Amino acid sequence: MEPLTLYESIEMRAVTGPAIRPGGLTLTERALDLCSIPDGAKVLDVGCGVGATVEFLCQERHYAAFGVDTSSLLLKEGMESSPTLPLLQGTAESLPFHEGSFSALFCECVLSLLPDPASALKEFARVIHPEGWVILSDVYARTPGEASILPHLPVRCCIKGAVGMGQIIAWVVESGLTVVTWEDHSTLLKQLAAQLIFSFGSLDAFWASTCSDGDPGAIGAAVRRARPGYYLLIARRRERDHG
Amino acid sequence: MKSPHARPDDLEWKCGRCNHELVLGQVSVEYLGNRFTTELAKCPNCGLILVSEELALGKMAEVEQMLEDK
Repeated sequence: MEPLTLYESIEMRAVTGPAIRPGGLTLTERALDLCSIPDGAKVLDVGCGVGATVEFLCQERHYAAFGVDTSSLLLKEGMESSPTLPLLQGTAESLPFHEGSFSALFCECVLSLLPDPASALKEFARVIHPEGWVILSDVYARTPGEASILPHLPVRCCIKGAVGMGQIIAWVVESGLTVVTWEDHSTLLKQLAAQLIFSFGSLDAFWASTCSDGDPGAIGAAVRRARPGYYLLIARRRERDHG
Repeated sequence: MKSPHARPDDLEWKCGRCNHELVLGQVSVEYLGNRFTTELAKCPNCGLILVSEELALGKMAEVEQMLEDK
């Protein structure tokens, strides 16, 4: 049996709550303020976990929201607490939906966990309407020159996949999307780090709890050099490429 | 591997104002515009919070340094 990922762990979810990411639903709401998504539109959350965003989009904003995740553990938990939520098992790189199915797609603190983010973004562009919205929020490396070591760290969390802003935007553009908004929300990541220090005793103790081997102090130092930040990116499909 | 929020010694203190024994409770901490919650020893009557030397020089110092990093 595979060990639990950080986002599946009870300790991490005790800190974040059901929306397992910095800021919880803060950036979901921020994105909805910035995008003009029609009332009742079909919306997809890729990497939905227990379905916190899907539940919010359905019940608070009255969208027809669906969720997809690879984690059977989180999906089972979500469907047990809210049996009517439309949550499906699937991967971001091969979504079980027809082309142009959704007015908007959320992918919150998930792209950095994917083995092939460029392919996933092409899949996101495929399943949204012409001029549909793709909303990403995730960790990134504010010193990208120090990020090359991150994928090799012996931890099971999103920080491994943090890359620079330029790389993220390049992937988005290559997928046939146009970036309309990039906002830095690194304060939310710092607030989560502060909560982790209070919960675990120190960031080194937190890294020790997530790493399979290696020196937690060295892991923390490598992460600090890359200066992790947190972003919100909103993109739209370029119709001429997908018409 | 969770860190205890307060030492057993912290709960042996009494509030200087109310003379109530301290209890563990949720408190909200704000620094440089960042707000987070944690569980610390506090007076159940007036809400006075005990910040031990260990807490101030440990977790709080690390949070302060992390929040001040650019």
